[in-house]
Amino acid sequence: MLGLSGATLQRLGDAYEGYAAASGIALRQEQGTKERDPIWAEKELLMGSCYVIAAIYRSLLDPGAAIPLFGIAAGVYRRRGNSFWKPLAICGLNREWLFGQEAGRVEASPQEFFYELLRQYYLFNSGDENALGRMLEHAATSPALIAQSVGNPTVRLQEYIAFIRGDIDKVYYKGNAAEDGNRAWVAALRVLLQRTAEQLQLAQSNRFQWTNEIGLLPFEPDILATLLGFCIRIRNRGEIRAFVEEEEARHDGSALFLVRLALGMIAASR
Amino acid sequence: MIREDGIRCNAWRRAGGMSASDISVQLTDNNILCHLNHYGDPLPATHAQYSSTESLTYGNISPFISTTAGALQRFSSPGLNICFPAFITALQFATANFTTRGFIFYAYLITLGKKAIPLVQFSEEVRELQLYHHYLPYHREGEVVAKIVIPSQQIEKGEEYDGPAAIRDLRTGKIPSPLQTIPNSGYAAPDIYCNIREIV
Repeated sequence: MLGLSGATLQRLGDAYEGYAAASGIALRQEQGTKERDPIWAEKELLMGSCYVIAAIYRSLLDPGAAIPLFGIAAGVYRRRGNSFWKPLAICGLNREWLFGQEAGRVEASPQEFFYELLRQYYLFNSGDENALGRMLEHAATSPALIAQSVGNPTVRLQEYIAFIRGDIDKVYYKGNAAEDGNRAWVAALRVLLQRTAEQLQLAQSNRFQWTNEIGLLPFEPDILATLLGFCIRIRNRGEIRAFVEEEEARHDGSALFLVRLALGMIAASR
Repeated sequence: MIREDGIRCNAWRRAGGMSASDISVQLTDNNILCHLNHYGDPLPATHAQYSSTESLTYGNISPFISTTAGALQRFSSPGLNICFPAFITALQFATANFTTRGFIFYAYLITLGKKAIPLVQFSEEVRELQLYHHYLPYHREGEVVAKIVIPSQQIEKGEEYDGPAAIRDLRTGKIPSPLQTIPNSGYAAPDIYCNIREIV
């Protein structure tokens, strides 16, 4: 997968998951006495981070095996009040946590706005119907906000907005695929995948680390969470598969692994 | 290595030694950028140390020594959420991804809080953006770069690990134990040399 050996990915997944589990045991022993210590909090986030890294390595070999690890990581970040838990809970397909969360005020921080946008996008049509609409409306009147770069790899918020709006608006073009608006999401998705491909190519250009398979992170959860928001809707799955075929035909498929991964995770969760 | 020579750079090990003038020629801005950004890249044919009989990379001839590479710490930065534990990164390097035996060294380096490339006695905080303004593509590797040699007095101990045994331990949720720990009796703990005066 991505030119990395299966045996190494397996070992790396084992190493980070094992280290996270061992750290968890040590932290539980200190719980109660040191819980309020900022160093303890950092250690707990480090443990959560190890679960994320393990999930990323596992996902390349077995998409289904990554889901519970993303879920555990989401729990850790959520406990520590770090909003990164939202994309992680999406990658963990944990609808329950995503649901049971009051919509907070996030307009002041582009990063917080982005994570909340991902949550509302994932829950669209199944929770507060208007929440996503309100966020998109706010974004439409806030050019300074959507010009900000968010997530990893960093992408301007407006690209995510264009993708999400393109997905939601396409129901209005149903039955008339020839209309341009029906494919607006495709252009935005190409930008997101292009950023993913660049991040991967940068990692691969670090020849020493890549060939020794040390310290690699072939992708991060933000764009995967966005893709899961798209693919979780059954009506979109045929279209995204057709998109993958189109991109392959254009020989522009370096980041398509992430789309396949999203589809694989959803298939594995059934 | 721990008690006598210290940890030497690849340039020293390759040449079997370095004179004071060699050292001053080697400690340059360009060489540190090659160390950081082109470590695994082959030397071009125009490079002074290029060899047609040997496949050499910039890393093979580097006068710098990477330490803590990969031990990214970035929770404090907004939007940067994933952190690699230094121990696992070190173990991966030491044991070629858990396939061989290898050593992890516990040492300290002295930094100046300023860029000081020609001064061999100070290490460089190359991932500190206040000091290194260059675009560094592989910024995620938290790293302090030592020069020429890490003196034995600054090395507290070395721990030998067996890679396959370490991964077996981790699979059962256990932090791996070293096969052996080699303490350095000549270690000079930094606390006693620290120039920060305690409150009287």
